Amino acid sequence: MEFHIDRNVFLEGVQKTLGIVERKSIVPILNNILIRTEEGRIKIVATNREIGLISRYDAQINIPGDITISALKLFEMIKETQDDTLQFIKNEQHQVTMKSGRAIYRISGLPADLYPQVLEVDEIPLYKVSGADLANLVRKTSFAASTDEMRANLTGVFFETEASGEDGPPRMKMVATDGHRLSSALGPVGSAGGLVLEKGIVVPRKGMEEIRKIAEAEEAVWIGVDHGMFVMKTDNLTIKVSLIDADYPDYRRVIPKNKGVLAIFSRDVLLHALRRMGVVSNENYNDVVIELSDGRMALSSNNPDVGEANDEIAVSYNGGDLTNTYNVRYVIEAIKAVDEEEVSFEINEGMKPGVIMGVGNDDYLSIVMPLKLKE
Amino acid sequence: MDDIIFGLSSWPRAILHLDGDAFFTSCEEVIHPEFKGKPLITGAERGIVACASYAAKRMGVKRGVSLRDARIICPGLILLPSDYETYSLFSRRIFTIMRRFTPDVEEYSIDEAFADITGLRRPLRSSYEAIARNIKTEIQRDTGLTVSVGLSVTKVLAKVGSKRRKPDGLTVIPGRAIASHLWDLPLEKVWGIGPATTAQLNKLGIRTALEFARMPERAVRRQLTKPGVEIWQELRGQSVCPVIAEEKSVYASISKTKTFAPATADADYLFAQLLRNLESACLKARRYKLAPRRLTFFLKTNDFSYHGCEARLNRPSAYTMELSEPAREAFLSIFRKGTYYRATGVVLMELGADLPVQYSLFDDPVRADKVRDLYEAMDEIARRFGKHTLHLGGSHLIEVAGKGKRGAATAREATQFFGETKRQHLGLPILHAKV
Repeated sequence: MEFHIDRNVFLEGVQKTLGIVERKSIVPILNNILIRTEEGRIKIVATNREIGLISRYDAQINIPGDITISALKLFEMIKETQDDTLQFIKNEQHQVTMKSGRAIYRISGLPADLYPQVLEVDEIPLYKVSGADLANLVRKTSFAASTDEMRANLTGVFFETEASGEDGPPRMKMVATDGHRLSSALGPVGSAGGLVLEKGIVVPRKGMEEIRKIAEAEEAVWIGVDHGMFVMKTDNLTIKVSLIDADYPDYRRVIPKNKGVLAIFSRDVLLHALRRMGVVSNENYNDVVIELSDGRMALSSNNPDVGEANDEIAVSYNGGDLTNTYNVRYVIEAIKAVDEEEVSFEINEGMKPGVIMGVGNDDYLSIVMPLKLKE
Repeated sequence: MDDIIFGLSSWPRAILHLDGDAFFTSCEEVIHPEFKGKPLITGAERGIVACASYAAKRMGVKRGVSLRDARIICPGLILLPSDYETYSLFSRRIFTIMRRFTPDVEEYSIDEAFADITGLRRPLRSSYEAIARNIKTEIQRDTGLTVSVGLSVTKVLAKVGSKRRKPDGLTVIPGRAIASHLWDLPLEKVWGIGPATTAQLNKLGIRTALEFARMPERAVRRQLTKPGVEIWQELRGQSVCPVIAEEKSVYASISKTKTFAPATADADYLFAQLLRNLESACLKARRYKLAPRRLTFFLKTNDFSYHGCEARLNRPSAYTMELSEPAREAFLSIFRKGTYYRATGVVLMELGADLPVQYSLFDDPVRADKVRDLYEAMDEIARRFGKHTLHLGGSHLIEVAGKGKRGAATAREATQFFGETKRQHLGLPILHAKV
């Protein structure tokens, strides 16, 4: 096996696999990616058995063949080379030699036939959507997904389509929640490009993040569902993510209908103030007391182990004075997902959830349940 | 070799360790004077020897031997069921007597305690040795029990002392005399040194406590972890483990296990037992204002193998009502039809303060608050009328079908004074002196 390839193309191709292959698996081959020559190009395959990635890059093939090799080591090697092209050779003993100018790397690989299979996607209907739209929805929701493996259905991002108005073209919608907070984002009208997911699918958070990274850089991507996998294709690459086979809770039920006290803030001012509180707050609950009174918002955080923090922001709000306690990390993450300059934070009394939105944008919504501080 | 000096001062601290002599059987001898000096064991209800009296020990009956074997070894052996209520009453009396001398008493187990008597020579007008002797005498006079006492400068050394002469012994190890008590003491007899550490140190040629105490500090720190280093320091007469007089209130985990007899394959009864353990564990957690994040449930089969299952909670909770669902799920995943089980157990883990509480989107927060109020009322009822007066329907079967206690009732259980209930007793052991 021997080929020549553009250094930057190869570097980017290998980099895309780093989030997928495992770093320190006890099964060594799962730390590897598979490289196989095709006509005038190479194919790179990466998988952790939940996410599969197949990508193709132009290369000058001299001798066909295949090999698997540590993704991380290969990436680090390519990154430190300086020449424009790389020569990649594999011998009979599965040893890889990579040359860049006078620099020579030698590294052992493992035979390709031991690598877990990642099947090419069958002829299934795929729908063209904007890469930026898709990436945006993931960015605005995935942070709220649970990391608790005991609640498998909440560890993913719920993805469905919603008709816009009466029989309008469907648009994409994503929702994520860990049971304490929830984020929901809608794409622009027609963003689903004809895809209809009536019942919705649950895509693992990690897989969604990989999809976001790839979609971000693409103008258009093609998406679809195939055999329990969410599939996304670009011109040279296919990524498949195994869906979580579990029912998603009825999230519409928890979006509050009655309004609390609506306060409008400058996004950055509020973020900075919250971060100041976060420095001292308790690391398990991150509790911060938010108090609305006399046309200002007072923030305070008190942690016997560390100390306390206090701050005030000017704010316009409708309604009476109010105090509640929130996990500051949840509030910060919800506000970070807002693109608008102004944030609306609807604060409720007692155990009713707070609602965070961007001013002038109804498509993004984040709900945060308060904390109960014992008297 | 035994003239090595670890410390110049004889009494930098004075710490005493007290250990009951064949405690359970000694208690029985006190309330049954007719058994005095006879070969006697407790543990009849368990089928194995829990404690053997000195007379029985002399005949070769050891702790842990099955009753059948014990009878063969020692014909005429008297078998008694364990009467823990009486033992704990005696235990409390011993600790109270110790507190006549010093407030710093650490109750280490039912028949073991540490006491710090540093600085009491002047107020009590006697030497440390005399104080130790007085404690011993008063215990024997007031309870009729003999104890073995070790007096030294650290807890580990005091424990070495109390084991040195048994029964009814008093061993004094002042700072200057440490070496003379360690040179012939096998390493594995030191408190806190287990088989693994022993094997590890044996490989370095360290076989006695003295050899261990003489190891250079660098070597000790390289070989052992923090607890091991502390034992080394204590053996050298540097007191690093203080006597902790407060009742324990910090728990890493809380576990409750109950063995019943006969073994059963009845799913409903087993689940009732499991739930009752959960109720008991949660009651304790609530008392210390703790709530678990993680639970382990297990069943023990008749052939002594354990089968367990773990559940993680969405938020910490010590309210049994909210935990009965994970409990049932866990139970169903462990329970095998037709298998006989003899014990169930629950462990509460990742305990944290039960405040503040993060409300959850998918639970009903109003309900959560109601549950809390409900349990406050339940705990109040438990305080007044006894534990588990109010319990979940799932564990009610225990009240109906019995707790699965085997063997004859102890004298204390069989007797009820006027006004006593099964749950509420006067704290009195019953004397069976035959007049």
